[in-house]
Amino acid sequence: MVTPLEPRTDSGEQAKPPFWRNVTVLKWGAQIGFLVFFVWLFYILISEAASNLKQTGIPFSWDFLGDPLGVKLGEGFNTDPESGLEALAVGMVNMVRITISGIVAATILGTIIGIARLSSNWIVSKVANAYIEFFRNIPLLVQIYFWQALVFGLGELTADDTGSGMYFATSKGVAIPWLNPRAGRWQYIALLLLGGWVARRVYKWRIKILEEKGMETHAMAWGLGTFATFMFGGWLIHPIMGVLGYLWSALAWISGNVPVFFFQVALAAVAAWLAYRFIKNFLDERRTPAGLAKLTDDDYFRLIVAGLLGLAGVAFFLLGPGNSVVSQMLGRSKTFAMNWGLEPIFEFLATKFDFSTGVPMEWSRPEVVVPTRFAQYSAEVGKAFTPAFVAVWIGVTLYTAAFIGEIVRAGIMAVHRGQNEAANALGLKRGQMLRLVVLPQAFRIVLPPLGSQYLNLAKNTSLGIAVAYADIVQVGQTIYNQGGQALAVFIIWMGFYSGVSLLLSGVVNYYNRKMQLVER
Amino acid sequence: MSDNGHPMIVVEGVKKWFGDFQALRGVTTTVGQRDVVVVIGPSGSGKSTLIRCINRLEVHQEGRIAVDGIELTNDLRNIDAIRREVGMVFQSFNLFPHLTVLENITLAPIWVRKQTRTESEENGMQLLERVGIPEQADKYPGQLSGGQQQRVAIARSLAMSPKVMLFDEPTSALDPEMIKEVLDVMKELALSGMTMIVVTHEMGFAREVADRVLFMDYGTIVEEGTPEHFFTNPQHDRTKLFLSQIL
Amino acid sequence: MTDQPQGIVHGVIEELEKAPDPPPSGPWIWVQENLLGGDTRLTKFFNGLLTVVFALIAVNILQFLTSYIFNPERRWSAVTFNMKLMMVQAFPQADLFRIWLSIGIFFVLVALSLVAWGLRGQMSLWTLSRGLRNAGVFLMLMTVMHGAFEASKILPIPLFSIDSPADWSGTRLLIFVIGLAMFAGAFMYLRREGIAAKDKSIPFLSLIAVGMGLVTLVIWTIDLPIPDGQFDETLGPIATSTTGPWTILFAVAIAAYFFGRWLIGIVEPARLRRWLVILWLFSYPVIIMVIQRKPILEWGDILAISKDSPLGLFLLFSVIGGAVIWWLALPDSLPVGRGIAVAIGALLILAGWPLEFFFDEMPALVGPIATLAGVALIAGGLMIHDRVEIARIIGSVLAIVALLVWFVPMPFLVRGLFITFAFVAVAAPSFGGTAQTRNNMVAVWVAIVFLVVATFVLGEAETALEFQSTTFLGGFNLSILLAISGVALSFPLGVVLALARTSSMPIFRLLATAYIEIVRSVPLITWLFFGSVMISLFLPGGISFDEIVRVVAAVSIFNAAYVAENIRGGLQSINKGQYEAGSAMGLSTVQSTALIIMPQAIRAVLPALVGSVIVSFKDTSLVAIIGLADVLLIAKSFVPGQTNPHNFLGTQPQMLFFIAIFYWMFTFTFSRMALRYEKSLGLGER
Repeated sequence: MVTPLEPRTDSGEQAKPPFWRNVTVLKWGAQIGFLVFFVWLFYILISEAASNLKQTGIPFSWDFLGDPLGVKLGEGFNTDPESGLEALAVGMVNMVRITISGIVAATILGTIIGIARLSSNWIVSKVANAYIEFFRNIPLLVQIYFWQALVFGLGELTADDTGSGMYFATSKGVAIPWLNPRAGRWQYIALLLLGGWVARRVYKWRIKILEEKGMETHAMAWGLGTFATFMFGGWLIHPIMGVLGYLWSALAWISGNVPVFFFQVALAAVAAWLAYRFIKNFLDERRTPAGLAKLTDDDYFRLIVAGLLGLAGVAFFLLGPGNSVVSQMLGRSKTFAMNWGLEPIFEFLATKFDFSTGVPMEWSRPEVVVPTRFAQYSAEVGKAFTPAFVAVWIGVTLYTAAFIGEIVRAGIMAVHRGQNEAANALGLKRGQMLRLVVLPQAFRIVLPPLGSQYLNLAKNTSLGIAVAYADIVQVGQTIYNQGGQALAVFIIWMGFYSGVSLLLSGVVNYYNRKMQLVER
Repeated sequence: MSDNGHPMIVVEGVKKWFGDFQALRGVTTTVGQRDVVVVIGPSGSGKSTLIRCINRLEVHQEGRIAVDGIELTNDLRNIDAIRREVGMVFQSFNLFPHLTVLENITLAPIWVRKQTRTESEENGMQLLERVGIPEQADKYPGQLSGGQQQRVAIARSLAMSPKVMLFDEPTSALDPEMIKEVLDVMKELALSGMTMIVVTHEMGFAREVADRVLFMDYGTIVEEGTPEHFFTNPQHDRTKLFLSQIL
Repeated sequence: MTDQPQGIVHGVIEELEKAPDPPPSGPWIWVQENLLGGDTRLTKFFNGLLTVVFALIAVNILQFLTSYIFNPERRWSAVTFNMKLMMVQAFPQADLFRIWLSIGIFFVLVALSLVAWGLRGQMSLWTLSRGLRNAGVFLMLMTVMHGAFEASKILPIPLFSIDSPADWSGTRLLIFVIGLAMFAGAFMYLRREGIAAKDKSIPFLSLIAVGMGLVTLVIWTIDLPIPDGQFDETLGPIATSTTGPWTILFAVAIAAYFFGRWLIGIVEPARLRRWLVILWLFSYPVIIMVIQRKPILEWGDILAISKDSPLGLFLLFSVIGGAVIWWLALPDSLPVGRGIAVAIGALLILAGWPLEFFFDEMPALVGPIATLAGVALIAGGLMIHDRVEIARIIGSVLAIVALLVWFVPMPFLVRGLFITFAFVAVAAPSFGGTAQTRNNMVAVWVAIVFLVVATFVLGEAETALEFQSTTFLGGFNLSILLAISGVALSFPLGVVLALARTSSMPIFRLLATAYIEIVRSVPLITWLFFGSVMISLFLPGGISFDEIVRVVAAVSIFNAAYVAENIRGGLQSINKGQYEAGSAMGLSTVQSTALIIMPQAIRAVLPALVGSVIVSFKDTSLVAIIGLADVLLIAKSFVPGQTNPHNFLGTQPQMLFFIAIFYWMFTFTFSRMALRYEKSLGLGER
């Protein structure tokens, strides 16, 4: 039956095509050629930039990170930072602050609007619709300017207002009652973290019993109860967490005195180990009883990239970020000890955990004081928000809520079709149906677009610069207006925002995957 | 029966893996000129993979495949040459929804065979007449029935004047009343002397038209022979089981 | 068993039955169902409560808005007086007809397109009259509540305080009567026709025409606030320098529509559409660079016959380049191919080394690379026995050379032409073949050369406009420019990125993914800073662009990532079988991507792309932060800063209010149109 192969054109064994017709060679040749070109282009651009900068007389440097800023910031944990690095840190914290509070508020408002949009009540649904159409079709910047103008249009804060009140809304900003942290907060927070961990263990333990014995174990109540115990009991016993102070001191000592070489070797080993693990797992997955399956180009590429990344990690850590890169960034010379900025952090923490018995937090009403000639909000009690914060926060919240409302509506609608009928057939009431059937499923549909809205919100807070809100963009701009290091500031922006979006999308993906697993 | 002239397709020890799943475990066969070979077998047996390897839609990893004396290797020129000589008809038609029926047919002749538009359109109309739907030339695929779409797909392959036609379950996605119109076109094609490899579950077609039937299972050819041999006196247990299940 | 029936014949029912009557309806039933609905007494009560609360909120917001707008303290003359400033900023008064001409071109193109693509949209009288009825109610409500501006605070809710100081002036009464008439007419019509009105419809086009007529009527008769002295304002008619052109434009649009109707009678629709697409593509660059910019063209220099005059370069490149491309697109001619390959190779070797001696600033690698490319070409030409392969190699080598050209000092125009040539040369072997396609290819090439040269000449030319600003673009005109060019320029890059990201080749995929993710994770405003402050850093010395060009570049870099993600969605929505059918028919990857995959992918994501155009339009407002005088910056900062001849200090909130409504009208209309379009696509081909 089997006829021998008869190549018409060639003789002998399987003919090797010349390289310019070999598909594999062409494919990889094009890619590597492009990569080389790309790297070359990058190199040219960078060297062009370097020479251009040299001509302007402001060579590229990171010195501004160590140099004093010389300008006060609008707000933040330290409005008079000692160095550029600290100023940037203030900007980052401000950005994170407005992002997180904005996300929470926009989610709540957006969910309400999305549900209201679907209400069977005509006027409720129309009002929600009007909200969505109005806010999402006006540029956010216009809205932020508008809120700023509105805040500035409020009454002046004068000496007549001196004293405390429920709330103040003036052109100096808005002040409301607030739970203010006090001396014991560090211990208390540590205790709450511990409580959260214990509560989770308790919850899992009860669930395990439920699964084994098949009886109702009220796992959720147990978990929450445990946490509540920590929350209320901790108010009294939080000083015991002062023992952590010893730990922080020890860590501070270690990071200050163990030779940096030790850490470098350890981290390099971790990098090498991770790369090894990845390659091994990758190959194991493709190993069958019959031997290793054929690897595709893609597989080889992944292996090579993993190996190179591992090598790069080893090289990076061994060449020493501790005593070269960061030191140079900070303008310090090479040091023997590890210099990654950990020591001062641990030392700072050590000073905060000291068995003190002060209350963790205190509820207080805002107060207007007149320290010099002008009235202002007291920093000690209540909580005062600057006009810039109010404008940006209201702006991003209302704007994002409109989009979230649409997403929630679409999510519920997507579930509605079949499930609605099924739930009706089961005889569930409307409320039950929404709570038990529709919302859990809608959540899964809603999560990915919701995540991208959160990302948008985080990025949109950068518009704060328009109203001089001291976030990282505004601080960065201040820095480069002073020192001219625009490129360095841009690199920091890119790193920071990429980090934020990686983190946010990581969190969303984590929940997304968890949700998908629940389904199966 | 199979050896009228030199072989059109030679498949020798072909192996193919998808990740760690081995889809073909050393398939060897030969298809002569003007032969009509029907491949049958349970789903997942590797029959589609085999004909997709012949067209290099999948890349085989071991063994050799040659079509009309041209071996399928990494050689760009050989791949182009083989694709020009081998036509393929898919289970799901894969017509281009944004082009009219006639444009579907003339696309490849214009851009690959470098024919002029008028030439290829004339040829296309002839082909449409051959498959019996010249009046649909200016419609879009979405406006046709499944059977008509599959006939357009056949005409589209024929427009490249291939030496071999591969059919990958051409009638599986069709409603029962449309199967016959497609099979009729295929029969006409077989009678006209086209070399064909047909993966199908239509046993009637196999019995009537095939020169040879291959039964594949677990990525190998379990049994092959004439239709008579197959439907009257199958030898292997797997073959018997399979035939008893579908007949 | 035998007396069991074998089958029953039911026959066919031929008569069609009428659908049962719709359930009873009426205002009271509607209220019960939509405002007080619920299964139980409690939910009914709760729903009623919700109704009351939300009605109060809605009425109060409306009240707030009307009393804000019609408050005598507002100085709307700030808007009317500065309308020209906000639209076109410093564009000289004497050349204002150029703006009107631009709008006119746009109108004519829209009208012709309506004919060519046959806008057969119909609006049912039911929808129309319901809309009219509701609008009538809204108008009446507005006029009634207008009086309530004493109670214009949102928080304390006073309802319908009619005992207002506002008088029932003539205008107010008129608006009320118009509202009443609209409501009554529509209501009576609906009452009479009932559900049957759903089946009757009128074409959109007549609605648009009626709308334009009404607008014309209104602008000729209405009185708007105009400033009077430093602080006062009175009512006055709109200046004829505004009403006149608008009226003419409307007339032109309608005339163009009928011209189109006549045209379609004598020209094939497909042909008309093709020409319209080309006109649309060209209209915007022409409007900006020729009509609005009013360039001073030195025809003597441009048309000089020399090797570096624009005309000379045009002829040089279109003839020599055209010949090379024509040859690259030939089906089969091996010996000639070899000859050309060897010739180009020799040229490269000869040209590669001397370059280094002549130009000091040239990067060191250029010479050796050019020489190597030359050697490769000669070797390839001698070794290879297939013309298409030689053509491909020549195309790639030309691409490399063109990229090297970027770093060789030479006139910018020549550089641009070389690079465009490389792209066309690479594509030529894939899309050539028949005499027809070959000629098309050359024609396209000549057109491209012309475009590049024309763009360069127009960009170089000084503008003859006299204005007090750094640029002739400003106000809303600038916003439109940023929106359109940001999207248009990012589109090709987005397509390439999307293809790379879905490619089977890992390095391309990695690079594209990195680009898209990094660009998207950083906010637009930082990219605008990048554009306005940093782009110049990366360019070779001596090359610099206007700030607007840099900002457009930054916006394009940013948009490209979003466009790429949209198109990727389209690519992923395409069945794998389409690729397979393409390659089974012998089409190369480039061919099947261009002819099969891309047309389908773009069609699939068109609604998403329109969405990103809307986003991009909103995003243009960000340039106000970096100090470009767009409509937002003018309204927010320039106008409230005016003290002479009229004092508009303190008008910032109301200007922002106006700008918000202004943007809202555009984005809302646009997104509604996109939605309608998406719906009409939904039932289409797939």
